[in-house]
Amino acid sequence: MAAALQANQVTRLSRKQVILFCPGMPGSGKTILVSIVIDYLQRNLGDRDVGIAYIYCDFRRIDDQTVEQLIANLVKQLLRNKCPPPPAVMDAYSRHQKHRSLPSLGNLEEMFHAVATLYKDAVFIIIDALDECQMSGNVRSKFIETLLSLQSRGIDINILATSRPVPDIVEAFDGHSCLEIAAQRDDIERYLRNKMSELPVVSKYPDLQHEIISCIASVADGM
Amino acid sequence: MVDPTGIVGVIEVAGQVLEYTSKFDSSWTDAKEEAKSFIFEVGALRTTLLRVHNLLSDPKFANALEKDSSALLSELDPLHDTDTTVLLSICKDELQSLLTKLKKRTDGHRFGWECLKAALDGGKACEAVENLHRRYQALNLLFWNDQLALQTKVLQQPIGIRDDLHQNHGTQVRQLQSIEQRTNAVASGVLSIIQKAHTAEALQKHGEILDWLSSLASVDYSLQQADFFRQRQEGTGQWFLESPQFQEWYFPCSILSHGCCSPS
Repeated sequence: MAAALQANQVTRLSRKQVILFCPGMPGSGKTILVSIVIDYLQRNLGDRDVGIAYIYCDFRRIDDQTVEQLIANLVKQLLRNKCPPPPAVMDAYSRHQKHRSLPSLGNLEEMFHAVATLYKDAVFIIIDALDECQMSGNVRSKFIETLLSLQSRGIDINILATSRPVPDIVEAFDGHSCLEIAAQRDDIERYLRNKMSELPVVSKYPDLQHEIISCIASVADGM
Repeated sequence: MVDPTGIVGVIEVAGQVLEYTSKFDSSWTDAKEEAKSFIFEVGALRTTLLRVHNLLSDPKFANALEKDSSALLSELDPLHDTDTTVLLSICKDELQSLLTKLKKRTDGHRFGWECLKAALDGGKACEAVENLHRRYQALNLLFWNDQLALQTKVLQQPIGIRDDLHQNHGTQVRQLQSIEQRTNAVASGVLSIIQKAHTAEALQKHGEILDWLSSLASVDYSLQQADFFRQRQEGTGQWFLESPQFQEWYFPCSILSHGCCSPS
């Protein structure tokens, strides 16, 4: 038991922090920030053999976000750039076609690993708004558990997840790297300055503009 | 013995003449000039004829000299060379009659060189022997020409063979290269067809599997990505991208070890 713990600590130490949990209050701009991160990865790593897959969770779409559907969606995104498909995926496809069956979560995890290992440089998984995954049927906890277990297969899967700071999720990511998302005064000011042109009267008075921006920014800072 | 030209007959009779006159026991100095020179002539003729005869009877010689390119052999062809045959025939007859006369005279006790001188007088033996000898000396000259030609030919042969071999070798190498090139072209063609077939098959399979996965998980999150990213304000979020936590996450070991993308 003690030896196992020690081995685990050594593994933790020797590996980079590849899971980044980003809690943030509603309206702090988590979703927009996720879209900026995804765009940043796609633009900067375009010439690398890198897999990028992402999910925007949405409480209005609970029918489309069972754990199996979410993992299948990640597999679909990663497979898009990998032709020919790996044998494990081909076999699973043939098997389920033949028996007209649906793949289990275990099958989907196997497929995920088969595809992920095809990427030589890295695999990035970005999940927005984990708190919008339904609690019913333990979908949320199962999905987080599955995501974190994708790590333990020998290949580094870089996972970034955002969420409202709800206790079960914060607890689940305890021990992993954390970066809180809060509206930044700079970002708010930049946003407001840009919106001033849409207000014809205000745009004529620079002093009024300045006052509006600074007032709103100071109230909204860290929201 | 086959003797189409009559050369052997002359050699025999000449031999008999020489043998008979060698029995003249009186001294060589007593001999008349004409008789002496005649015996010389007959001896020389016999030597020449023997040499030519020996050469012609040697199959190696005949093989070495191709008939159409040999001046000597074409001269000696019994079907065409009537001159030599006639000369040989005359010479043989003359020597034979000389020998008969000599024998008759020595029987009549008129002895030695005198007898030979007498036998030669009024006969044509001298002239026949001289004519034949000249003829054979001419033939001998042809023989030397032949030999010279033969030697040249023998010397040139290896060069010709070498040239032929060299040319053949070059041609064969070129042919092999051309065959190899064509084989390679065919092989790469087949390979590319196989690859295309495999690629086509893989592409089809790839499409089928993507369709299957889409049927399992229909949401296309890239539409939302495009929508959200459009709403962002230019330049916002920079603080997040530049944070140490994000940079640590963004630069995993595998990318760092490839030595690319320095943090910015």
